[in-house]
Amino acid sequence: MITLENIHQSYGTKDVLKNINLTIPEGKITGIIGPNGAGKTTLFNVISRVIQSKSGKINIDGVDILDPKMNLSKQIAVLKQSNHFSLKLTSYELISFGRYPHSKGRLNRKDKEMIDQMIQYLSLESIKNQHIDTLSGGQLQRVLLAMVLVQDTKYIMLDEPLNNLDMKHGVEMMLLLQKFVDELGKTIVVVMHDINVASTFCEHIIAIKDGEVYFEGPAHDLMVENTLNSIYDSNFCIREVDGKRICIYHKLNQELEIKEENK
Amino acid sequence: MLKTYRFWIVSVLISIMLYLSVWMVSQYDVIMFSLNDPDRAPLFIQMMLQIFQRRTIQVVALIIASVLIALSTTVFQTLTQNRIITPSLLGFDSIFVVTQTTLVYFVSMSSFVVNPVLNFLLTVTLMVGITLLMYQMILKQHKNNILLLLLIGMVISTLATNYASFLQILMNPTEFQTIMSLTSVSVVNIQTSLTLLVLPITIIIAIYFFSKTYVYDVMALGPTHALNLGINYAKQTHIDLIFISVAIAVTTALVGPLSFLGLIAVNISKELYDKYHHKTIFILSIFIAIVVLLIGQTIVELIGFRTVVTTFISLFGGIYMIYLIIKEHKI
Repeated sequence: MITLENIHQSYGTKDVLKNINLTIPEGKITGIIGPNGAGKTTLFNVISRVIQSKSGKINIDGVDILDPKMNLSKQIAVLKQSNHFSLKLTSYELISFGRYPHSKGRLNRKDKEMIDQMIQYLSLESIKNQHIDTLSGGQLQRVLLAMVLVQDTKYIMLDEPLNNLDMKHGVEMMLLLQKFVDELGKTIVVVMHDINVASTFCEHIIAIKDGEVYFEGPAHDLMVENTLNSIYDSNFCIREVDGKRICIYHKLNQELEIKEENK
Repeated sequence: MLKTYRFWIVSVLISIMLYLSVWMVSQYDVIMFSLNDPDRAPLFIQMMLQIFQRRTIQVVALIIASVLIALSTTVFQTLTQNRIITPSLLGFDSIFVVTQTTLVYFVSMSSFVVNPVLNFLLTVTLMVGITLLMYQMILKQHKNNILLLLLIGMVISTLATNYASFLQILMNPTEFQTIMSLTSVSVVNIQTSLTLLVLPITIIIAIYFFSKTYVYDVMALGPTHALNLGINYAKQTHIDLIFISVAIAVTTALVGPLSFLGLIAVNISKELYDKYHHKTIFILSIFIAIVVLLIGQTIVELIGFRTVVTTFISLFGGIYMIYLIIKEHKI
């Protein structure tokens, strides 16, 4: 369980995160959503200790993340949005970097078994020996996921993993994440833009607005017109498709209402 | 084959034998004549021993410079994620010249000028001190921005050079001569005492860098990945920069500025070996640095000491750097 207590962060005089108190439940996919500039990525960076919060405390399973004696790289794995490598690496080599917290660079048999297992799990055998600069966006994303998985952590944090992916690969990615939760017992935190994907695949959703937690709870409860309207300051229209609530947000709600009346 | 230790040992032995036999054959008449003359023989052996000693010191100094420059440049390039930047750009040579000029100008005949060891220690301390001050002021405030550090280093070195030449204009010719002899250090005139002093420092630095090869492999992935994989990136950068500044300061004070040597050695080794393992890059770039220095020194000695190694290295290094810039940016 990851708990945040009174997290406060500011850049200059601008408060980006104001007094955030959160609990991220175990064994679920938690989605962080919110409009641009709301502080999603800052919150992500604070939890993944890329930046330090100005005040407040973050505990992972009861351990403060800033405790220098704790090596959190075995507890929490982080994948950021931009992944540009200046090195010439093959997929296999990149994935094996994920074992560093355990192996400290010297791969033993157990590490290699783990890497092979994850390559199989994500069906990456065909591109195992390919250089990463020749991979497509979807393939690279999967290789990076494998790298995060071999790190063998309980928590995985992903910053907009669906960026640059088309819908087919996006859905595949989300299904993979669900598989990780169901089969490997991971706890996953994702920052997302697409509300529909978030509500369909994430069990728990945190909505941030102006640096504050606006909503926290199951996806089903988020998908209410009033809530979404006030988070994004726009007009939403929500329909139920196959038991999932889907929203449309093209400011077309007046037209839709008229159509409904006509029915 | 290249990886076995036996191969390296054998090749080093063969090259030494080759060198000795070439010397014996080319100087055969002189050697035989000297050894046959009973009056001359002891003197001759004594002279040979002296030459041998001087050469050994030279070779050791050469190896020290190669090791320090190759290692520190490799690490620096990993930290900056850039293949063209070298730590020499931080402006060590100008700080070196400024220290010497100031010393001679204000305390021309003190022991700091006359005693090479004292002079060396003072210069190195100053060079390391100034760079550490720069790290403290710039890196702490600007989130480990090494490029900014380099820019400021270049500005400071220009300023320092101007200050040094200003002092040199005010000087009398004798003092100016002293400065010239102090600052034009090269592989040819190396103090024996300094080499012995620097040797342990080199070994410590080399052991440190070699013990962290796997850390550098991970750091080459970039700060976010390194952080995620459990490396304290900011702290590691700081420690590395301290070691790098000590390494460059020591080399500059021992054999003079060798700005392009690191660039040549590290880039050629990265071209020969296209993987990321720092261990191999370290070893390869050390060997290439030694070879480049040796070739440079040979040319210098063949043309009768009319110039210093630095000139050759700068000449070829400059050309190579232009080639690299064109290649990397695909102009």
